[in-house]
Amino acid sequence: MARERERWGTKLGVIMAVAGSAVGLGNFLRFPVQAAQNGGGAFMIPYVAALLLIGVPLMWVEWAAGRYGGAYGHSSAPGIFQSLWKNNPAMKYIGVLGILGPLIIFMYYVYIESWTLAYAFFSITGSLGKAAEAGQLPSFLAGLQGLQETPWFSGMKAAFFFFCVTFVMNIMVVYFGIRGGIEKVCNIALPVLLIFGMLLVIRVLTLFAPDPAHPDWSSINGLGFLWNPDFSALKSGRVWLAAAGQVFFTLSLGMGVILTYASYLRNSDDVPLSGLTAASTNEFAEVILGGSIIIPAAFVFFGPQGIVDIARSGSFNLGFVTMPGIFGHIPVGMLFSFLWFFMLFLAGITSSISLSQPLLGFLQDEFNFSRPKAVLSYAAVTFLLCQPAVWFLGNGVVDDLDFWGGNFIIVLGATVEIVLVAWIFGADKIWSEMHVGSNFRIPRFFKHVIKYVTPTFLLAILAAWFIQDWIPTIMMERVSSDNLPYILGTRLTLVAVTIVLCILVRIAWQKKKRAAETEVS
Amino acid sequence: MTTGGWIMFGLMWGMILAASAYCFAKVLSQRKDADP
Repeated sequence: MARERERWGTKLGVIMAVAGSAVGLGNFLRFPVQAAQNGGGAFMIPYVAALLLIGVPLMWVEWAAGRYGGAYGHSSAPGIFQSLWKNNPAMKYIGVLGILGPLIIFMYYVYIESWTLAYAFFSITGSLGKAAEAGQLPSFLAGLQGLQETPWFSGMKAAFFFFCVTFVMNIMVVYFGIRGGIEKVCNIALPVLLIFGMLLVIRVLTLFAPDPAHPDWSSINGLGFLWNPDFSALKSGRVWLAAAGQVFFTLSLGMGVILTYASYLRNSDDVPLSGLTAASTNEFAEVILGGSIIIPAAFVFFGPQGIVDIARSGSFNLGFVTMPGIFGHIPVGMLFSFLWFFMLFLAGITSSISLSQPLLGFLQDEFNFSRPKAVLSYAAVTFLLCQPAVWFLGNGVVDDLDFWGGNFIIVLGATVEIVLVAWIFGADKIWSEMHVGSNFRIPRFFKHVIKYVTPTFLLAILAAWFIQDWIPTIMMERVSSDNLPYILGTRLTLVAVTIVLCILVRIAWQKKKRAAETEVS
Repeated sequence: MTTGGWIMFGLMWGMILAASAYCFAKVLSQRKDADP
């Protein structure tokens, strides 16, 4: 007998969960660096264009398509895609992208998330403060990751311990289900995260210009570094592509998570309003909080030239090396260091729990697994799948997983999804589906955006990335010969996981077919 | 920060704060009679 499907407890709860999924480490680490490197204030023009032409329309499409599939008893992309195009048996296999993408991201994201928990812990114990005083923050990070023998850490013990703690926390949250686990945690974690972010913004903006030798190194001029527009940057296609990419990644689009979360909606839920609220919450965290912490703080202490060099060294250096260094220079800095890393941890965990749900929903709906059985199976498999990221970080495994899960699959998945929904299922039908139970009318202009502009935009991004970035990565042109076995091993694992998921889809549909035939006879 | 910087900063902050406030006000007003 089929179980009754889980549902969200409240309208606000689902918005918090979707916003929690979207607000991740990238809001605070990736966005400010992207904006500063791509025209500052002028970057916001392509950013807003991409938000209106790709981000928000695709978000509405995913919410509506997810709820539509949920009405057929499916909560993951294989079943949802199949319900959108019933006559094409290949759709359930294409929908595997919507389980595979989140699974691959989970394989490395939980490990990165565990560093934020570790840094929050070491902020409180004082170790991070001592490393900052000794000017040894780069070796502190490398030591934690097990990449270097340092006075702070020996081997992988600390890294593995914090990974296990973070992994268990993730599993415990999803164990309690949609309403009792994910929704409850997001209802608390997201407001706390936003409050911590606001406290940090106030602290950074009230740093003013602490160094009398450099009165122009002020927090306001730091904001200027991010916001002063360089309109000549708009002539570069690279800037438009970077803005579209940032919007795309920040909203958790194309990876199957929103489809799954939306499958637990009721017909009385307001899709346009809820989608827009989740998107605006994400933008608040990204532009208002993310844009006002890391760059202005680094500018105050390192000045315009220093910040260019720091930004070039990457988002992780800014987050894990530069920021604790800055906190080491301000009164009660380790308290702010704790707020910073715990805020990142909350942003991380609300995202990583969402990555688990597509596969859990698949096991529950297509194999009729109970929640505990699905979670324990998921925990056993993903614990093993996470190990390469933990142990072979220095061999490029995380970067390769990020390329496949966090880049290739989600862009491909989103392109397939928008073409399927807007052209096969039909723009008129999805438009009606979006407005079921809604008091909020989306301007009709967006119907044409969904049908023509979003697919064209996504196909253009897909083509540009394929030529510029993907071919060299797929061909392993930038992989050193030392790392080659590790990257090959990672890719073989991903191929095996894909094949297993396709076989599971086949078994599930065969079982359903047999059950339906038995019922008829 | 230049005048252009303040304009971009003000526009983005204004737009996002207004959109967030509007959306949450709407959601909270709907919640009273619709939550299960």
